[in-house]
Amino acid sequence: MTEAIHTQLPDGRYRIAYRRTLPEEPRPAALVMAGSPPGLLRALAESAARTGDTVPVVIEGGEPLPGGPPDAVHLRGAGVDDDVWALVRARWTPVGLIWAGGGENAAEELEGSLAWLLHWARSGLDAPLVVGVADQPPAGALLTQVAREVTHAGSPPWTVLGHPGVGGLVGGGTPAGSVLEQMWRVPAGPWTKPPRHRDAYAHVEDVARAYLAAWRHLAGGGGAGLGTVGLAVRFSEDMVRRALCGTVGGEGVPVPLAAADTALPLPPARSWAALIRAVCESGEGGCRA
Amino acid sequence: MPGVIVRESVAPEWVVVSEGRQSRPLTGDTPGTGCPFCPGAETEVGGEPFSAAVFANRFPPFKEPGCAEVVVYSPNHFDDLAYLSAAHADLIWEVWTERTASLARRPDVAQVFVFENRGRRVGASIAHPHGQIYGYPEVSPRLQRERAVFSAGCPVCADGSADRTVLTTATWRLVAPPAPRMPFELWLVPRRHQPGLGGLSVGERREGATLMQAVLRAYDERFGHRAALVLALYQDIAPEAAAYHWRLDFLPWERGGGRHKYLAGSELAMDAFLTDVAPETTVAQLSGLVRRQWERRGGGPYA
Repeated sequence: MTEAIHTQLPDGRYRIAYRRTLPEEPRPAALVMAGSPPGLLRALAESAARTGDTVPVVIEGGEPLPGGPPDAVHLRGAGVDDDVWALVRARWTPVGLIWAGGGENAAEELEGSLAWLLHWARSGLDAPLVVGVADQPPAGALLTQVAREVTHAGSPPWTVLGHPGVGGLVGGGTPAGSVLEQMWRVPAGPWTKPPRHRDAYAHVEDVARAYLAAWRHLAGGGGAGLGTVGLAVRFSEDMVRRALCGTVGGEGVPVPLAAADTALPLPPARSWAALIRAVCESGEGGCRA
Repeated sequence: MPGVIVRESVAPEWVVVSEGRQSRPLTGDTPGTGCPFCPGAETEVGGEPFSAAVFANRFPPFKEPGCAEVVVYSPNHFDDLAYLSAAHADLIWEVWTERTASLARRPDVAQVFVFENRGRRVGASIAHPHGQIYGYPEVSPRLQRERAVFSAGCPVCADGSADRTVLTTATWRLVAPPAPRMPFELWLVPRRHQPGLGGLSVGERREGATLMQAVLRAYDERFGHRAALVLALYQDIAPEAAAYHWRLDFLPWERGGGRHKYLAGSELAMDAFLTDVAPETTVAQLSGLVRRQWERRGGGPYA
């Protein structure tokens, strides 16, 4: 039964409101991924797909992901493309966005990605924002700007996860720690001087401890007053894969940080949605759920 | 200021000249503040609850004679027509049907055209999903030409080509037209001959709305983003229009691979469309997608 309510507007126009009792059809949760490292995205998507309650959505921009992740929904278009964004919001409830890489990309692509992230920040999304960032200076500036926008938007319940990438380490870019210093004003510490060689990937626990220290520093009031908490996690594809598969720190603890220090109040997460929610609800670093 | 119909001096066509539309807003994708189609006391849809809303266009291309309406599909800023619930999509078809009947009763309306410009690329100036309804004061040149064809017999009923048929359900056929003007163009036609929305049974309406959603979703899946397209409902409201067979035309502005179709020299200057995708290719590439979406939407038996 449809009800039609006619209204005459002051300017002479008319309006009709149609009302019908409609069934609720909640959108499935989605973890949205975009960026350049295919292996990393593949690992993340495989992990999200395994949970069963979160659809991995991979946005392929200028860099297609041949061969995978097979369980993910693949969208195509530049990150800033309205049509990509519209489809994401129409089909799913995004519980987070992982944006990986980018520091090595051309300036215009970075600008596009920035616009997309800011768009996300302004869109009234009631889910956490998860931002990955590489460690080159342009990407650091990107995350800084996103953080500012989040702050300007009224400190919504989002977490900004900054993960200084490895590209700068092996590719000659700015050391990862500089992003932390610039963005979160974290003073120099062990986390700012990661080993400058690929063997660093093997030192999962060391790296995690370093970033846990950064986390605690922020929790202690050392953050930049952004209303969010910066969780810096540096990882390689292999590290992510092993961590998400539960081989780091034992079964059922898919978080490298939790493996590094059990004092971190992160409950074991059963899914990405739960993980992100748990991070937000932990209260660490002033993060709010 | 509404526009006026001006006749071309060198062809039997007309153009609506409407300078007032220059000032219509271009809004972003942010819901709430700034979106004129999100609920609010100061917005076009008002603050009262609604499932769908229709209002007279603030920037009409023409007004008395004729009219222009906006159909906001949902109060939710992100509710695309393709992803509404089946009941909600049926409501939109009911609204289209009711507005067609209402406008057809007006003496200053000669044709009712229901359409959506889906996406910024196709001309949507406001991101909140919505469609439009034009009540043309005169029959459009296109419908005039189609009327002439239909007067000699219904080409839709006569078209039994299996090669161009994507899907046939109990009450609908989805076909690639023999001469598509746009790549991957599809027509959704009622199997029962009828000139417009007013002839639909409730069952036909429900099935048609769901099939429309399956097609839109299939396009999105094919192109990897919300497909840029025009959704155009061709119908004839004239009392003597029994010869006409109405259809919902999907006119994508996509060629695949991130490439877009543009109307250029031949199309704009000569009304001579060029398309890169043959109807058989459209069927080959979209049939599986549409059928899968139809099944996911709980659609009935099909062939």
